[in-house]
Amino acid sequence: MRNILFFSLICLFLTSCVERQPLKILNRGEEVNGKMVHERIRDFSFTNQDSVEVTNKTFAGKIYVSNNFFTTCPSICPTTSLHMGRIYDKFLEDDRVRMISHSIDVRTDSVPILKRYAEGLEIEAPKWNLVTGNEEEILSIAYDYFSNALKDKTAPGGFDHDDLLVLIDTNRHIRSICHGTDPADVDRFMKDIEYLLKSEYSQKK
Amino acid sequence: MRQYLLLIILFFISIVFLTDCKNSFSDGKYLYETHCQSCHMPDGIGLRGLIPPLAGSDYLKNNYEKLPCIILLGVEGEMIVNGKTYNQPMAGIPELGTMDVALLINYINHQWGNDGKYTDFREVEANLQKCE
Repeated sequence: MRNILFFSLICLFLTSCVERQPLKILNRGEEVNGKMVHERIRDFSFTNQDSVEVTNKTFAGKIYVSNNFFTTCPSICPTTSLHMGRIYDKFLEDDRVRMISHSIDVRTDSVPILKRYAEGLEIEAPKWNLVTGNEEEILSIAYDYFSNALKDKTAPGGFDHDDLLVLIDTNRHIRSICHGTDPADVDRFMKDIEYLLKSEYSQKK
Repeated sequence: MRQYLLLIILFFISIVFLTDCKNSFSDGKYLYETHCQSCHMPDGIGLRGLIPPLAGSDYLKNNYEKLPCIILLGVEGEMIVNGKTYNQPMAGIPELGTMDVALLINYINHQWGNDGKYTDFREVEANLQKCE
């Protein structure tokens, strides 16, 4: 009896001590002069649903969530948009969090079409930017976000891409990733956003 | 002995009926998951102001006869569902047969608290004559 009591006390003590590990920088790193230097999201310039230019500066001092989609995508996009919508609603009042969705079908998704899609999603820029731009630039920046986006005539809608949502910190580093079609994974991802907010903005004060 | 035999036969008949009932919905469920779910969502809630809901939808009830045409041929333009306006084109699924369409409508009409009509392939065929 005594042993059991003792054991359960130790368990209680241990669980109360477990603290969350900080979110690691997921980009490849290299040691330069004794300091770790990680790869970052490259410079970019796109146009959002309001015809406003969106660049790295749009996200300066913010953390943001990025993904790829296109408005006529018949497979995974609506589900991913639904869960991006949950993130939008949850952090609507918090201006430190922003979002960007790259349309990989730049020929179809003009600014007016993106505008209509944004109205349908009931979202607004600059909180959530649906962007278009140079096709080469849009498809190649996907790699910076650990995502795949390529033209593929055999894929539904003519493009092949994944359902990844990617969380970027204030230094253009990737800190968390989830599958945008998996509700439980998105729940975990939203906790990571809250956690990153705490760690990013407590250091700077 | 005879009574037992009768009971056993009755038992098997009821099993056949029960599994048949179950099958008609599981086929509809399969069709829904294959062709509809990625936009209308697993629980039929749709996508915000973009894709209308099927769960609790007044449009389903009020436009019962149009459903086969919409499923096979798709639909475009403004649509008002539960008082909200939607305007996103939906692609049809022309490869479905009339039986599939009936199974799909029966599934949608009896999921997520929906309590709509049952249809069969004859009625679907008749309604398909009225497509615009």
